[in-house]
Amino acid sequence: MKSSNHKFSWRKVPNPFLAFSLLACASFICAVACQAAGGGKNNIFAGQEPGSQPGFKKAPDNPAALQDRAIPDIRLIIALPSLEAAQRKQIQNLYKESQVRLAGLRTEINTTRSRLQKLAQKGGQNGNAESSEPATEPAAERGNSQNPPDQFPMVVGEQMEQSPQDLSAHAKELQTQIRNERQNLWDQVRPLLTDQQLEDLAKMRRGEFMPQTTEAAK
Amino acid sequence: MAKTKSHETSSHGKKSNKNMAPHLLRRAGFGTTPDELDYYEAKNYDKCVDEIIHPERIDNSKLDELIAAQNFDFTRLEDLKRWWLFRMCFTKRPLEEKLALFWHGHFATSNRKVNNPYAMYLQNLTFRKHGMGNFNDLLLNVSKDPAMIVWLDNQQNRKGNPNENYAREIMELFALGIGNYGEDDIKQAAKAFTGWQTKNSLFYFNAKQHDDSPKTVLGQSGNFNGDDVVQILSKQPAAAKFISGKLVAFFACDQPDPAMVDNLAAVYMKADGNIRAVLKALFLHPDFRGTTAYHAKIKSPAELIVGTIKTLQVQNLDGDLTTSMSRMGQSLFEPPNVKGWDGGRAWISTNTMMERFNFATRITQQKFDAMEGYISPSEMVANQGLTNARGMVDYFLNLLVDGDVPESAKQDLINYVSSDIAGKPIAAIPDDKLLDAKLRGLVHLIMTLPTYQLA
Repeated sequence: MKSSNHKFSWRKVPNPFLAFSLLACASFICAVACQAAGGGKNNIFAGQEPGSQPGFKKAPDNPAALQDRAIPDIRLIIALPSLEAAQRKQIQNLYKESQVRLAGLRTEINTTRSRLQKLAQKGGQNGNAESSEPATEPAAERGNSQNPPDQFPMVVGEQMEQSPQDLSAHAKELQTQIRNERQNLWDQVRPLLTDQQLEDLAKMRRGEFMPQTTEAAK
Repeated sequence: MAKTKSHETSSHGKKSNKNMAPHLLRRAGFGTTPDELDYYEAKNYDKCVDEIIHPERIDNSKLDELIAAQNFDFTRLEDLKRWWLFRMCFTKRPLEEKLALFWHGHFATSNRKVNNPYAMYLQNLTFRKHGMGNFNDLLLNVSKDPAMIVWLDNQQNRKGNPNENYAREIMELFALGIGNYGEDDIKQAAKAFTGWQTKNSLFYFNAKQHDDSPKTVLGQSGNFNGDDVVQILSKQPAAAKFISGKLVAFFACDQPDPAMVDNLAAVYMKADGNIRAVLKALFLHPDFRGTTAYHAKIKSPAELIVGTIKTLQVQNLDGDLTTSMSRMGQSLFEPPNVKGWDGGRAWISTNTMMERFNFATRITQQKFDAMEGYISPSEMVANQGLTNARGMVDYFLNLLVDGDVPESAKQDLINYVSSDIAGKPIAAIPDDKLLDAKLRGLVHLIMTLPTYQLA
């Protein structure tokens, strides 16, 4: 950090403590000036681009999220213009079969999440609940606890033997099964594609694939 | 009919010696960085317009490099939204992005039905490629766009069993406007578009499904196909007026003076539908530079978010910004219906105002402290060498709202900065922590002023 002899005062307000204030602010001014010199250097907007890399804040490298991103949307592969009719048919069949299996899993995960949500709402009404979603505040700060954890409110008519923790674990397990099913489908589809088609797909994901219409309208 | 006052008189009656660059850059783009403000304010207004309407002359290669480093996956909707937001924030060609946003709202197509983010991306590229050229070319390319074909059901538009959806919307919403065509025109035009389909991500002309019979559209008869209908529509004086009116409403003011629209429609006709020519005339029009337009439109969520990011020089973006934009009522690639976003006062509701204020809180409070590259307000005032409360308030008011606030509000802000936490006037801020808090508070207060919601 660089220092500066930058002065700082409020000239428009009564000023009984000016001398003290100037002294008190001196170290701050140095810091500000220093930040201005250093902080601005790497900001693309400040017109000093070398070294600056604006972008979206990176999410932590979650293996499951990374896996999700690595699996392409098979519907886009089916729509690749370079696919032969037989290839397309084969991939469509694999996709349909997979969708049948996924439909069951999705129904179950939706049901599980819905039950978790109801439990959380019910718990919220009673002042304390383990939510299906990550808590927005640390447990110690949530306060107003009406029910200790061992007295979690149960939902009448639901599968009362399952705790929110059980349901949450079950939802995670289902999510893993869905991910595995998608991975499995991709593992079956990938060998059916030529190198060129795989390259087309990679280009599509990078936004570089420009399909050329060959059929004229007239 | 609104009367045009001098552009040097703000909506609060404040006289200004500045040119209208900040206003132009809010409308033709998404606001300015402090450096851009200095650059354009030093220029003659006409030269500013000339630069802005020729984005192709501006080197934007840095943006491509930055985008490549982001590893966006264009087959994922969320990445696509971030890609566009990123472009809006960091482009050197703001009109290119703003015009793409205009056409996205005009030819409103939603991924909710298309269900193919890559097709939405390609449509967006079409808006960029043809958006500033001849309207006929743009309309033709949109008519053949796979996402549009899916969106308006032209896939089902077949010989002997026409689907009139696209023909209706091209007349009502894309080219002419209600009252400038009849039901028969729709039926005949629908026949011309039969067989215009999409197959494997491409436009596909299915000759077997095309109706080759003679048609009469808007008084003209022939063995028309879609190309012919597009040409007939785009050359209509009604199209000139309709497109000019939409451009004025988007870029200038919600309720334009009909004379301004007529003026621009004449430019459209003379320039054979060239959109760049219409935009140039629009930005140079006295109504655009007067109080009719100045601070007379409510910022769209995109304008609010991108403008703030640029002005406060936030270069590390929060991934939630696209979600925040959606909560404010503008989900990119997902307009609410075929009419697009209503805009204007519809941007404001109790829910969306809350989200706007939450955004102001997030961007000015500690959330961004740990993010490398963020220029905090205290850094900004230090860069300017500002040493007193009035100077700082003036600086941020000028930067964020062109200084266009009543004197009483300005004084309140000065009092805020010149007081301690308890509200007691102080001669100087005793420590850097309090100064930082005060300046963030100042920016936050300005961002929640009614004027900040205005473009």
